[in-house]
Amino acid sequence: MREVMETQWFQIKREKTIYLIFAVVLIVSIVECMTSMFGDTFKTMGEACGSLATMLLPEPYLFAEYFILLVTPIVMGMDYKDNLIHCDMLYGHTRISAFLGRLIPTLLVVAVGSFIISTLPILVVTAVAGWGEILPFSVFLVRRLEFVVFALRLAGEMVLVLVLCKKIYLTYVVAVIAMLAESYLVISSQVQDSGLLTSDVTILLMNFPVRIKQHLKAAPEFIYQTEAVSNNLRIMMIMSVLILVACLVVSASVFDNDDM
Amino acid sequence: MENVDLLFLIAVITLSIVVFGISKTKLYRNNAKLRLLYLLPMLTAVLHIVMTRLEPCLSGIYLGCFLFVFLVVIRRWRPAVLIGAIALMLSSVIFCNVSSDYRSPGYASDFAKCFKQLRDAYVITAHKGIDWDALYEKYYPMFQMADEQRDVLLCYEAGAQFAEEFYDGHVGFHYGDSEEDIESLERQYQEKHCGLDYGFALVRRADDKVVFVNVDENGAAYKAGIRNGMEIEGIDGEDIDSVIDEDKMWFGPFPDRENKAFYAPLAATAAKQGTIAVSYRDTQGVLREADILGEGSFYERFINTKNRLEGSMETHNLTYYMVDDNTGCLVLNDMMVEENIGAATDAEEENTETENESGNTEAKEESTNIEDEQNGSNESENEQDESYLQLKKQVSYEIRELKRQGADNLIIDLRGNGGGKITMVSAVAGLFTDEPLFVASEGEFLPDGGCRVLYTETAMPDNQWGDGQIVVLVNAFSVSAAELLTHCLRQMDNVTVMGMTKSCGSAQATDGFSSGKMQISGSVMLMLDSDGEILIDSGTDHIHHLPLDVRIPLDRTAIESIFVDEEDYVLHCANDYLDGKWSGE
Repeated sequence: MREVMETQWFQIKREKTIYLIFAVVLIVSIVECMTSMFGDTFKTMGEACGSLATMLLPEPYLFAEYFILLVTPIVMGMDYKDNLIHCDMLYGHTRISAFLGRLIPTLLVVAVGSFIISTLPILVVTAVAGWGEILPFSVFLVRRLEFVVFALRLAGEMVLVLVLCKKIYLTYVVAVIAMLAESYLVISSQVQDSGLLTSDVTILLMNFPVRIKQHLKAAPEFIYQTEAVSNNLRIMMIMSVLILVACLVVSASVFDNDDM
Repeated sequence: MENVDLLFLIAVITLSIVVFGISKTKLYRNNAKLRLLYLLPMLTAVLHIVMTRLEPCLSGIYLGCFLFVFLVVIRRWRPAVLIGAIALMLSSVIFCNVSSDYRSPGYASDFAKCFKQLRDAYVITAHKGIDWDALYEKYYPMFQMADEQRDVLLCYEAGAQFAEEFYDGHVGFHYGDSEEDIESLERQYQEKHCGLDYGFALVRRADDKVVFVNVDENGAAYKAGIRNGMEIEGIDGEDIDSVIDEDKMWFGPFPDRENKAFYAPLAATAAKQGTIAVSYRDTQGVLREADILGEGSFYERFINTKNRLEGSMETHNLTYYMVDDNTGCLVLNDMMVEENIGAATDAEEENTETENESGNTEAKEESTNIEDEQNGSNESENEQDESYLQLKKQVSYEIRELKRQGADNLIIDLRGNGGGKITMVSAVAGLFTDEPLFVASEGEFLPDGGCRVLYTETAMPDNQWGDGQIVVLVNAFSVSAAELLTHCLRQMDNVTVMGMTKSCGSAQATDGFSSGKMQISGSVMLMLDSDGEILIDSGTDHIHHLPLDVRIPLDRTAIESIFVDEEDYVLHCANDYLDGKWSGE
């Protein structure tokens, strides 16, 4: 399995598309965040700062999700098109080694990439405008790590689709259909708070319950509950891990029984 | 089992059978792309969860879908796999039917969330003597029971009773998606609790006798000889004072116990069933008895009687009219103003100016200048909210119109005024004064239990009325900003506060807390009077601090006027008072 993983790393390092996707998504995410934070949108909501951006900007999560959807099929499925997987079998690697040898680097790329893309835009905002006093910085970091758990779940779902259909483009098609279906359901208000949709998770991660204390003369006071791990987030992470495990078990089983 | 879950079960079983069937075909096995169809049952389950939320009682279906997908993709596609998966799915039907938690509406969890928010924000806990832990222990199980029985009315009952515990008009409970839902539930609650209609309502007269009013001329009570104004002695052999139990009142809120006692007789027959034996005194004072059968719901008669006691409730907000030759009336049902009211006022003003070309143009210009000056100073302080200027403009216009029509005295009718913003109070009060008037102070509690003033709201003088006599009319449903206005105007020598009941007694600023469809509101900003004491709101004695200057008694004349002649008796009394004809205290 180690040899398969090393080969996979070598391929990842040479695959320029991954770097390109990462760079483009990261830059667009930073630009979006800066525009939102320092544009008109949040002028009335208080002074722009990193902690306010953590609570108000969904863009870092959104772009990290795009990155996962774009990169996972490439990293995990690049060997389907040139039949390298088949060669692994011929060279005596077990099917499960071939699967894990590709899966582990994929999950690592997803985890690191999504963490950077979701974190860096906020750090740029912080570098420009300071962190502020609304949230402790540690809470921000813990929330980003919680997002990585969800990112791995998304990657697991993409892996399952990929091993079933063995086509990168078809995996993208499924991802786009899923995104459109989710958007439709959300816009048409047909969804309940299930904690399964990406929009649910994004809202949960950005949610710091606030009580607004009104005053007759002075500006309203915002009293935030700054828990790093709320009960709902704990449930979200447990569900993400369960779905990830289920997807990987089914994927491994398909891979193990496949005709290749 | 709910229809949506039953449909879901049928859909996944059908899909499993279809997928199982076509997975046996050669085309299907050789085409990897088509293997995505394996996921259909699982995707259906995900869609169902997303649209209806995760339901633990349906775990059998979720697990059945997953196992089916798992076993089929690893090529264990024997009929036993399909049968096993379907059996697992069907097991959910049993769980759904036996579990009390199946599709629980979540009333208890919503209440817990709202309760926590209210407890954190409520500012007069010590003043009201609220024991939060005891309240939670008492009411959480009631919401759990509503969950178990899936009874939204039970949930509303628990919420309404919870709100009553505060003796605070700002603590309210609502449940529903829309205004219609909320009102419908409130009506269902009242209809359920008001009991049977015996063809009469009861009120307590000023001499402490309980008398019949609103007697239905086609009802059994009337046929038995009961008429408006006759005294009732008892029901079913029990003294009438014992029958009337303020603790069992199902409508409110009445933060002031005097107001509660005033309305309590309306609920006297609520708990009665079937036929009641009523003992009463006829017009000659002879004790008589009658058996009266209850028919239909008391709701309509209850609402009708309550409305009549409250006074003129059907007048639109910001109506003005002449009561007689020298007394005008200005109706403020709400301390709010509709967005287009300013434009309407402008147009009316233009018409008036045209009609009175050589009239009091100079006076108007002068007042407009004062207004503009005043507006200018306030604008900088209230850039976010200028609707109070529209209200001020409208009231100012109406005062001028009433004066033009010859009004020397004014009745400001605040009966049923549900409140509004404090800036509205300042704007309106300023139109009647030559001196700055204290409205209210925002305060906060200090660690030693005292209060500290953060900001004081003052009504700046912009007297449009002059020095004519003013009567402010209130009732038990004049609340919040209406009470602030009453309290503010009462500082002036030419103002008298009158009413049959005191105002509600809730003057702290309010806000709402919601979870799901549930909303609970409460007092969240501490309002203090000029002495730094809590403004108006009643404490544990349930008597608030905005008394009436003149209480209009509900005596024989009043009952005759309200329930026989169907007059606005309170308004007539106010007019008599201003004309110097008032004979009361």
